[in-house]
Formats: sequence, C-alpha cells, structure tokens
Amino acid sequence: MRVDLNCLLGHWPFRKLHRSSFQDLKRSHAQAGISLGWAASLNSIFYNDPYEGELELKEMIRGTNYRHVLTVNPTLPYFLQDLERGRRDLGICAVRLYPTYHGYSLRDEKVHTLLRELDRLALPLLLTMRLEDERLNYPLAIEPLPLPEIAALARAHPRLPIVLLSPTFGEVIELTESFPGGNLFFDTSNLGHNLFPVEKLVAKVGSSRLVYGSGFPLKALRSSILQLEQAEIPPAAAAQIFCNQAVLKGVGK
Amino acid sequence: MIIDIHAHLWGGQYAENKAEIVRACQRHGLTRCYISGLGAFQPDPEEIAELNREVYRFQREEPGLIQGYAYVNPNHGNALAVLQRCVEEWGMAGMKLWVACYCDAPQVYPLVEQCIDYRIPVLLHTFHKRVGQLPNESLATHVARLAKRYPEAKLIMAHLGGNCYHGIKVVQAYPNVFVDFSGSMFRRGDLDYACRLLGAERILFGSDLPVADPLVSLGQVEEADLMEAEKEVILHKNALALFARRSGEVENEERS
Repeated sequence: MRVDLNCLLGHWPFRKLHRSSFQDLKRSHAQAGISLGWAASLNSIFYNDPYEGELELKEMIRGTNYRHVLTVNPTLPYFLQDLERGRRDLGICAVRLYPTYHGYSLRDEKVHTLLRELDRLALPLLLTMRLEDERLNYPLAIEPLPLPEIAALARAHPRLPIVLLSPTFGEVIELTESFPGGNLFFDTSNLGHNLFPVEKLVAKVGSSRLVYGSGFPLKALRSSILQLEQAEIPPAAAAQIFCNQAVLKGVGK
Repeated sequence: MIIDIHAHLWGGQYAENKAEIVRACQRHGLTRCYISGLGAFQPDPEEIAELNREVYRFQREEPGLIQGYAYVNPNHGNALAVLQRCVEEWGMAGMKLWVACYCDAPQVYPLVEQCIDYRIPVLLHTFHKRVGQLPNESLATHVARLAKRYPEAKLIMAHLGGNCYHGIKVVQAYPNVFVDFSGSMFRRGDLDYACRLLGAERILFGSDLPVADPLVSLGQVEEADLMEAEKEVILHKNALALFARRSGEVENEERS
C-alpha cells in the first residue's frame, strides 16, 4: 500500500498552480499507485481563522478515504479549541504546523502545550520545514526551521511521532546525527539536492525513519515517485517508506 | 533518448563525480551528458586549465556519453586561447560561463563572438535568488542584453533564470535564448509556465548532475501539461539541433 502524507489542497497566494484540484490529486495518486492521502489545507495557512479552511477541506474530501490533517497556529488564542473541534468533527489523523509562516519559535511554550495534547490524543505532528525553496520565495522571505530547535522539540516529546516535511538530504543527515532518537521522521518530498538520495538515506539512517510525501501541488509528485521507484533498495524498505506504520498507525494493516 | 545539457565535474572530485554521473546516466536512461568543470567562484588560470583537462579526460574515457563545455574565466587574459584550445584541439561542444563576471560584461564579447564563429552554444549560469545572491551572478536582464547585442549567438539561460517568474519574461523577446531547468529547486508548474511563454522548442533538459538528482527534472517533464511531441523536443531534439554545427548533423545523430 502506498500513502502520501504530504499533500495539500486549496489556493497558493504566490503563483498560479497547475492541476491542483482534489480530482487532480486523486488522478495523480491513482497513476502512482497511491491509494491514500493525508491532505492538509493550503488556505488554512493564510486565513485569519484557519478553521474556516478546515471546513472547506472537509467538504473537498467528503465521501472519500482521504484523511484530514488539521492546520494549527499555536499563537492563536483558541488553538486548543480548534484541535478539539477537529478531533471531534473532522476525524483528523494528524496536526500540521508552519512555524516559519506563522512567525513563532519551536521553543515557544504554546508549542509544547500543543505537543503534550497531541501526545495525549495519540496524534502525530507534521512539521513543515519549508514549502518552496527559499531562493525562489516571492515576495515573502521565509526562512527554514532551525535544526537545533527541531532536535530539541523531538527530544522533549520522545513518545510523539514528529514528521519533518520537505527537509533536504543534508538536513536529514545532520538531524539524525545530532538527534538519533526514534520519534523524528522525514518525508521524501525534497530530496533532489543529491544523487541517489533515497538509497543513501536508507543506508545511513534506515528506511524506518523515512515516510513518503509528495508536496503536491507545489512539487511534482512524479519526481518523488521516480526517486523511490528507481532507488536500489530492498522491496521491504520501499514498502516501509510508502506506508510507515510508526507514523501512519495501522493504515493498510 | 534523453540528453542532459547541464552537468558538472567538481574540481578535485574526478573519480567520484565520474562514477556517479556514469551510473546515473545508465540507470536513468540519459544518453548524453554535456559537462563543464567548476570549482572556485573566481578560478585562477591554473584551476581553469585543470578543470578543462578533467572534462577532456572524461570525454575521452566515455566517448559518445560525455561531451564537454569549455569553461572560461572571462577576466583572464588567456580566456580566448583557452576557449580555442578546448574547441579546436579537444573537440568541446560549447562554452560555459559561471560567476566570474556578469555575462554581458565587455570582456565576454570576444568569447561570444568566437562561439558564434564556431556555431556552438554558450551555457550561462543565471539565477535570481531571494536569498544568497552571489556577486557577479547573472540575472535574466544580463542575458537579455547579451542576446540583444549578439542575436546570432546561441545562448542557454540556465536554471530557468532561477525564479522563472523573474527570468522568463525578460528573455521572451529574444529567440536566440534557450533555457534549461537544471537544479533541484523547481516547483510543479515552473516548466508549464516556461513552455507557455517560450514554447517547448526553446527549452532544454538539464539536471545539474552530480549535485542534483536528474529524476527531479525528469518527473517535471513527465508531469507537465505537454504533448508527447513537446516532451520529446525538450528531452533531446532541441539539444541535438542546438549543438549541431553542420547541416545534416541532427539527422545523423537521430539515426545513430
């Protein structure tokens, strides 16, 4: 079974997107043999009240097996209420954060409050490293997340699965060297900065730390699929990356 | 057939780079790779000579698969002689400029004029960046000025000019400017945008091997909203035409 835990639906304010509807996502997934997506709302990143984007996402994926990832901005005073509503009304499978878009540090106490709650609810955290390459940003200058803050966060919440989305090959290596703990995972949507990246990462950090994510519709889904399909790794390692039970908890079992 | 018109040997890493490039070509179906040597931002004449020697060596060791660009630093007094030796003695197929100076600086003119005489393309590193812009790193505006001055020159604006939304429109009016989408940073839609503004016949497949995975570029072609015929011209036909120096060369290449 193949699962894409990094796909987005909605509008992107910085450029026109191509074939970005839910129908397009389903078609791309079907062509790639992906039977399940964990979808988050692009709109929720930018709406003043992100929950309005969540209700839009709910309508988009209604009646399908796609799972709902809740976007949370812990600097908003009602974020715990939204989390509870999301859990109760949307059947969320995970929570996704965008600290560099929303302007807070991972050291912020509110972040730790949120993570303690996620731990209690057994909901994994999807942590967005970047959405697009920093060099191509326009007009906002969005910095990537500082690596030491990520390692410190994972260390402080050792039972909570944290998936870092869109790290580079080098960042994965650096983070696994500074924080070997098993609760920090990495998606595969941004591994173009190296040759044969998937097999090199499987050799260095193990397939158990990797999870397939496409970055749709901001990234070409076909690129990340080719990287996994053409990697010379054992079939069991590829299967684990496409459906990592440590994060996805029972999906496909 | 896939022709990668943008790859590198990094100074001092000949054996590793060669092994990885050859392996990538074999595994991912790249039938030819155009290579230039790179090292320091401001290489001295000795470094330039060594980088070109390594590219020549790679060409000889992998005939058919590897073709070289002459890498020159236009600030050097011997730049023209370096270009002439690389093309006339070593059979290199193009000229590469990186970040030693802007690509429209006056010291570049005699080099471009020589490339026009040779009928070879010039690969121009071009990158508009929100962060980390290097000194003397060319932008599309520099490429456009060079294209206007030399409409007969075959110019390749690398990396879609960096952020393609800053670069493509600037060179759109100059039909002698082609673009490649080498590099790992491109987004879904960038190639569609370039095709819409320039047409597929001005776009070349490139990867930036060995520091980038060609599957990123390949996935972008496969996923773009293009006809199969357009994908073919991007993947190899444009390169065959652009690097042909004599009539009939393209047909011979296609047959072989």
